[in-house]
Amino acid sequence: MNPYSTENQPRLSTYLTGFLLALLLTLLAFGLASIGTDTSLETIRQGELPRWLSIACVSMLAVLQILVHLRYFLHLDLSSLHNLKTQVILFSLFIIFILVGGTLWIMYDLNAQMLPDAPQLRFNIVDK
Amino acid sequence: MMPDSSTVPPASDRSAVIEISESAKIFGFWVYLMSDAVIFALLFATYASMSRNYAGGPTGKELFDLGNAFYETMLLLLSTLTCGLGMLALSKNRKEALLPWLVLTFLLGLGFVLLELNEFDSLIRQGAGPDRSGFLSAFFTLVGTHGLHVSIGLIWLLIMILQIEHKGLTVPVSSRLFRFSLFWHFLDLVWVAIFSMVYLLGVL
Repeated sequence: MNPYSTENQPRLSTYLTGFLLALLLTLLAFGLASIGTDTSLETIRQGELPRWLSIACVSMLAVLQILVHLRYFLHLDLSSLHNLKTQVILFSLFIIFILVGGTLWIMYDLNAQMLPDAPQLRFNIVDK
Repeated sequence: MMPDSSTVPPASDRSAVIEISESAKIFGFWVYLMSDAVIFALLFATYASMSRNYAGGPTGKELFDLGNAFYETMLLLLSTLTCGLGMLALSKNRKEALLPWLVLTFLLGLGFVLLELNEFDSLIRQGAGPDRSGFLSAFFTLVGTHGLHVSIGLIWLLIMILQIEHKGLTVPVSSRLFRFSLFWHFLDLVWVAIFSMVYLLGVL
């Protein structure tokens, strides 16, 4: 008897759906990035696709693709909070949130306070 | 090694015991994966804080080759699919279907590592090695740590292929193989974050 047949019941359709979704999201993200850098598409980039928008889109596509991988490849099901695995994952996310959020907050703040050519300070000088 | 038949519990109890110990092993492996996720998250935070520290050196926009990153992404994504299809064969206990998928997964993973080594080599030749700037140190640490994980995964996969050949699909071998698949899918997930945050945002 194989314990994994009862553990997760993987199915062909699950893997293929996951693969196609991941492929689509990857192609979209790479497509966006190459449009954003292609100089022959200067007008499109400036007219319809500002830099901040491409950055936001690429980040959102990444988050979506990570969710697709968790759902279809790692078969993650967070529906049961009583599951120990769910608790470990949520706790790790909490730790990651504190560490990464704290690092970014402190380091960007430090940069802004310390560097003479930091964007914030330059902005103040231009203002005056 | 076969235990004395008088000490062997009835078959139903034995499979229940196996199931409990297997789910404990899978849980333990998830704890490991999450600790690895914390390591990668911190390397990402380091990279994000260092991503503008060029020290007068080349920027990501000048260095990164999107085509190469795209091929690497495709290789890893395909290998995660073949690994999943292998797990499908494993759940049906079909060794002859499982082995080709695993070999394919190994080759795709090897292709990924070779492309990455080639990229590192060309960067260092251009004088953009990890010692050039804070940005490049953080880049090599983050991407290199992921590449190291994939390389160790390849060694693990090779050992599993040999074990399947020599021992067959016994309970311990299947159990290790299942945890390998978790590891492999997890590495592809980390790569999604790398190609988006490092390569795509780097050229934008």
